[in-house]
Amino acid sequence: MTAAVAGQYQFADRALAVAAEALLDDTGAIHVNRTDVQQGLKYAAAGQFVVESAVPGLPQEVVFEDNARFIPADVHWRWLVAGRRQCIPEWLESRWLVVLVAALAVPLCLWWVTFRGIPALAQTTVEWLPVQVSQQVGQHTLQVLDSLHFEPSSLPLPQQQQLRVHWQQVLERLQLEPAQYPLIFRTGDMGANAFALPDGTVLVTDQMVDLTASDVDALIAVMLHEIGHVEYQHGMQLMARSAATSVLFGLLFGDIEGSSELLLGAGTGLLENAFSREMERQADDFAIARLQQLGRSPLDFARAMRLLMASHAGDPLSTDQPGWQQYLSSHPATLERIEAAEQAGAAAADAAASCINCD
Amino acid sequence: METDSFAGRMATAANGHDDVTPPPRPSEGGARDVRVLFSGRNLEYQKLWLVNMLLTLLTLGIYSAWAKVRNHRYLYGHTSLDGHRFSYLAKPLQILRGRLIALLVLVLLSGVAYVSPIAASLMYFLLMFAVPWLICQGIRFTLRMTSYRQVRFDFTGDYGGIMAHFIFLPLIAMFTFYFALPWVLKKIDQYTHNNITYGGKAFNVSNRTSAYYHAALVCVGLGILSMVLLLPLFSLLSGTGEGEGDAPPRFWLPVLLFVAMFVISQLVAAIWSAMIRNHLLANLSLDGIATFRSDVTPIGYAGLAISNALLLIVTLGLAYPVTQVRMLRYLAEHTEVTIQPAMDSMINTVTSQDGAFGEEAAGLFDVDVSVLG
Repeated sequence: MTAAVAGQYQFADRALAVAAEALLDDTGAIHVNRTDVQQGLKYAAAGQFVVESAVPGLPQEVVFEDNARFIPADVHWRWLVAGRRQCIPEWLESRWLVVLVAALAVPLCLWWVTFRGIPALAQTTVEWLPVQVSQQVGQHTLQVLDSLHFEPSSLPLPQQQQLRVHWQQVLERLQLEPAQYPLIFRTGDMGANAFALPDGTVLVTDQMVDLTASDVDALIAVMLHEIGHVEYQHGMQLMARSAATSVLFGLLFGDIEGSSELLLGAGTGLLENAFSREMERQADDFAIARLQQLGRSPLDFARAMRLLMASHAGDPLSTDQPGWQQYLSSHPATLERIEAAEQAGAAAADAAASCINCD
Repeated sequence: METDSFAGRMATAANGHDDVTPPPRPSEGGARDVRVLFSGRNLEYQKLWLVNMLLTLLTLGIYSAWAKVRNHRYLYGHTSLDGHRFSYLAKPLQILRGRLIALLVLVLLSGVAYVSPIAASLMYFLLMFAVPWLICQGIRFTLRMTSYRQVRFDFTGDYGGIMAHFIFLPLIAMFTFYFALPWVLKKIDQYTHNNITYGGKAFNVSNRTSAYYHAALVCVGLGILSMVLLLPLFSLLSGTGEGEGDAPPRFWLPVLLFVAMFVISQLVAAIWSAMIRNHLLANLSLDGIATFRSDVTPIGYAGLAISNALLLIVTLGLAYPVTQVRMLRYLAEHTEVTIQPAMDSMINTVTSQDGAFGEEAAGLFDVDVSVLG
């Protein structure tokens, strides 16, 4: 017999409680007796009662099969014989060492999972997806874009045909399958712009064609950038990432309410923009590499970006943002991208020069 | 006198100095006035929350169900009234099952949405009709898992009532350019609170429309006043567009305005919450068992909300548990309950074990509603 534990006995399903004391005997059974008068309240053999898992600062309650409870008065009392296992979470939660590890590991784990784990997971998932999925997604994206933003192109057919032929030649020289990257034209409310859909379709707006009317090479550079997105399966990856991120964040922070929920929303938004900026850079690099493969200069891309920047000058979203504001943007700062392309151009010129010297 | 002795006893019990908390005496015929006591501690809960978050991450989210139960048990258990603690009864496996089913539904829905927008729009249309059900299940589950002195709460609202109060009334508010909004909020509060039961007895709230319009007038008035005061700053902001030379104000001015707007919005929200909470609790009663009083002050509430927001920003959200504890402690300190002797003879009427799917889905789809301030 251990010493009696003082507390209260709460009757099953009733608001009634009386002062009581409980003790465990050698067989593991529990006896609860009233304190003020000699009266047995409850006897339960081992296995007929449950010791609740301990919570810091709270009494560890004993729950009987009929839902009656014994609540120790001492919030520090723990049933070590019957409920040692029930004290493990509390032990972890109150160790400063564990807490320090958690304080360091939680942000680190979160960072790793969101920036390494999920992207890697998304990449492998997307690689395993059958081609039909990206075709399906591509077609439906086009349907949605058509119904929301676009009208059929008003470019003269010969001009469209000429551009298509030019594009095919470029693809053939790059040893890419022309049938995989059909070129289509649309006009609409999005200004000068170009897109690549997940199935490889390249969509160019009439305004974009007009903008680069005197500089077709710049247009080709932009289209190469767009198929960079397709080659890396960026569209599908972004979808897989945002799905995985929302599931994970839903599980981790599902219980958070109020203004913190807003903070969380802002965080996910910033995260998606970061992914998107990283993808733009990848596509830029793809375009620059292909331009060099074609024997063209990366300056083609730089010129295209300058033209685009000038055409969107009135649009507050695409003006160049200084410093911290770039985190709010889904594209890297345009000037930065132009510089990267120009540097690549200069490097290519140097390389060419050194080769001439070789001869 | 009663109040002092109860509060004092709970305080010492919570600090752990007092080994034996005497159980409350059977009532001596009179009603008791008691303050709600919150004994949770900032750091203690912060530690618990962090460790649970780590375990959740290490188990790829599976432990989140256990984490939720532990967080709730800590916060409920540290809330006590008249010497008795509240209990959170949900079991981790129950939460996990609901959570997994809800996640599966969410993943399927978004998967279909990516592949076929037409099927998706049809599904979202159908989902709209599920929203009242989800809201209802969410409130009901949370209340049924809440128990005080072995007696559980329950929610008697139904699909039609939720549809009317959470879907149609807000639409009315929109169509009246929000002039009907205070009335709509009053109806919503009335509906949710009148449908809470405890031990089979219904809560009853007789909140008045005039109190909601009064609070709304104060809030709108303050909002307009502060806009007028900020007007010079706004004009400065639009003025900088022309001048080339005054580059510096372009940076600090928006920041200053943002901070000012943030403080004002918190202040206005706090005034609203404080006035409505005080009014609501003053007019709330549990038939023959309990009446309530709340004496939160707009300034105290706003100060707390603003400092909590700052804490969250500075710690990148990691101090969330501390903000929770601070808010609960403040609300508890400012809530008083008059308990009638009949309380001691209450009998539990809720025995069913509910599935957690509705509640978890409501959380995931962001249609969860909190009642019981």
